[in-house]
Amino acid sequence: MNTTALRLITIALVASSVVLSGCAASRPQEGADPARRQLGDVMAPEDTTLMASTYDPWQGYNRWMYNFNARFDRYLFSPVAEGYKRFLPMFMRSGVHNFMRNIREVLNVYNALLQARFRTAGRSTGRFAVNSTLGLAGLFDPATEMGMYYQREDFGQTLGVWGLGPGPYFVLPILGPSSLRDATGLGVDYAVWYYLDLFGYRNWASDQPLIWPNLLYAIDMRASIDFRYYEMGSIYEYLWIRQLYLEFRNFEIQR
Amino acid sequence: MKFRFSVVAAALAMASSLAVAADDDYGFPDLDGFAATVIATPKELQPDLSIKGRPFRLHSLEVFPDREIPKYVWYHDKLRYLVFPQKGPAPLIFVIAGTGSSYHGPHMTTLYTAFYLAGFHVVGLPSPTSFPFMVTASSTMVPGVLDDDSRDLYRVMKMAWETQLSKKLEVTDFYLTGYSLGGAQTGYVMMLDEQEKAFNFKKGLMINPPVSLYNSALLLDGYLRENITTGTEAMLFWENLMKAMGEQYAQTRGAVNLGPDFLYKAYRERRPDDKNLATLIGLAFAITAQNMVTVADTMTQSGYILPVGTTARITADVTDYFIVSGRTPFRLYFKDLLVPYYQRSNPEITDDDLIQRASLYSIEEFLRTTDKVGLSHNIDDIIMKEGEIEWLVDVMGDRARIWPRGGHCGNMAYRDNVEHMLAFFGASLPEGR
Repeated sequence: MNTTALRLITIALVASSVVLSGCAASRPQEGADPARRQLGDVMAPEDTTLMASTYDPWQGYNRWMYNFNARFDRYLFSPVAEGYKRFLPMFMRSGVHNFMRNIREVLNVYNALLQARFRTAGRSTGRFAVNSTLGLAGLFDPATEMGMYYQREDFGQTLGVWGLGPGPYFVLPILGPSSLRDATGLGVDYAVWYYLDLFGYRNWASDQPLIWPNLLYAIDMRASIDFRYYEMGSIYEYLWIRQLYLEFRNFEIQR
Repeated sequence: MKFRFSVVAAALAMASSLAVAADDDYGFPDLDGFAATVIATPKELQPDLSIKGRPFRLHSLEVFPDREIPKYVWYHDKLRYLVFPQKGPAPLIFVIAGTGSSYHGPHMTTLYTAFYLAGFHVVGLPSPTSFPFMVTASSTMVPGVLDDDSRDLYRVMKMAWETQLSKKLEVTDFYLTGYSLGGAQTGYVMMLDEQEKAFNFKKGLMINPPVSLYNSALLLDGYLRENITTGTEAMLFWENLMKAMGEQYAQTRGAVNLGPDFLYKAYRERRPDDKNLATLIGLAFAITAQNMVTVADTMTQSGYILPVGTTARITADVTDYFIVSGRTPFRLYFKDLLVPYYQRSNPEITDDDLIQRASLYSIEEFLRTTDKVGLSHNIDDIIMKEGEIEWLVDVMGDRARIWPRGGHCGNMAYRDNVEHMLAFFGASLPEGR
């Protein structure tokens, strides 16, 4: 969540209108025989399927962006994260991870409040108080040992709790699988974080050379996600990931 | 919400009391073959296989430099394999993954860490039936016939050794193992090496191999398709599964990664009945078969689910192909893709010839006479047809170790199994593990 990401989202939205217009289905060779096994052979006309019932009107753009993200990840993002994991000792990485989670805690608090999950809001507030002080500005996480575990909340979830469906599936640049609802939520969370600017951190970070605190945030985020593009083992990875993303968001909203 | 939480907690509590030891001296939980396959080995019954840091390297090979790989599979431009190197001289073991699996996954991780801790250089190879191997390293691109697939594996091993590993590793002896389909391929590769002696493998261990790939695949096809016949039923099963997992997720505290591990764990903590477990196992296999059907069809231009010459773009909506291939059982992969592929070069060849070549029956004599190949299997393995375990016992004699339970590979990480596996190769875990 930094200005770079936001700018990229804007570019993607513009790009999407271009890509969408140019995306046809796959084309068979002229004069080729039809495939030997077709839809009519495997399902009755009144039968339903899971994948076909998912709302993905921007699939052309989404697939393009998914593939772009995969390339970005393979050639830049993942190698950087892998190097980070190899060369930085564990205690330093966990310090970074704790710090980044701690500065994000304010988003968990306000969203838990909006969802009327007061216990979660209280726990997140407690975490922020304990970790910012005893945890030396968030570098350590004594709150978890005290039973206050981390729970991520975002405005996309809040909208979901309020009863809003995910809307069209939407693959974000770099950040990957999302939906119109969740992408909107991301924008709102970013705005809150931007204008609230707790302890002037955001302002400080954007003044640093190469905005390195924000880059570190991104690297930490990537390093803590155990996923590699195109290693799921299925040629239909896009569809499987789409399904799993939407189900997983449902889990988070229902919990 | 709170009510539901307590119901789940009660169910879980019941589940753990069910998992008691059986009335014998094998301490693996008393689960039937389906449950053991899905649940696998609880952490506390595994030896300590944790390792410090990240002592592995990903290598890649260009096996067929002239092969044209379609643009939309650019990411499988080379065959990737994983190496855990030791410092200094050590024995090297190749590990072959099971059906559809790449070099990673829970069973591979068990093998990597156990052999690495026992002092081996470990080299993990994807299964010839996996997406990356089919595209980059399979000579037929229609895997399933064990002799051809094993030759492909052997080629990859030799290439990896000659062009990369021999320059980096000091190796004393070579060994080989594999689980599931990789176990059957272990037998074949051992036989190839007996003739070619490129490595002169000292020993090879087959872990839960099918005797006949075709028979096992029909069983697995059946687990899904006997329980689910329409898309509507499939959606209902999926919804129930997701509901169960959503509830499971609700009780997790702190960070949870979405991934196969979580999906698996969620289901395995709830102890559903055998029908549901069989369906889940069948579904996992169907996803593998779905991928094999699609990849084999596109790579060989067979016109089966995609018309010949289809130029799929990365942006193309392939949902229809997803549905058709998802509803194509392995039996039809064999009949409609694999057999016709072989008949293109040899019109005389029959289904039965190929079914035979996809089984251990065709290397029976080698398996009977060699003293280098061992077997670890389970009496209740759910991929085995009646009589197949007995056949293996007859052929392998005292080189066979048959465990009283464990399902299909469910007990691979159980401490007795790890100990037996390492002891077969004359090794053991360090003290205190």
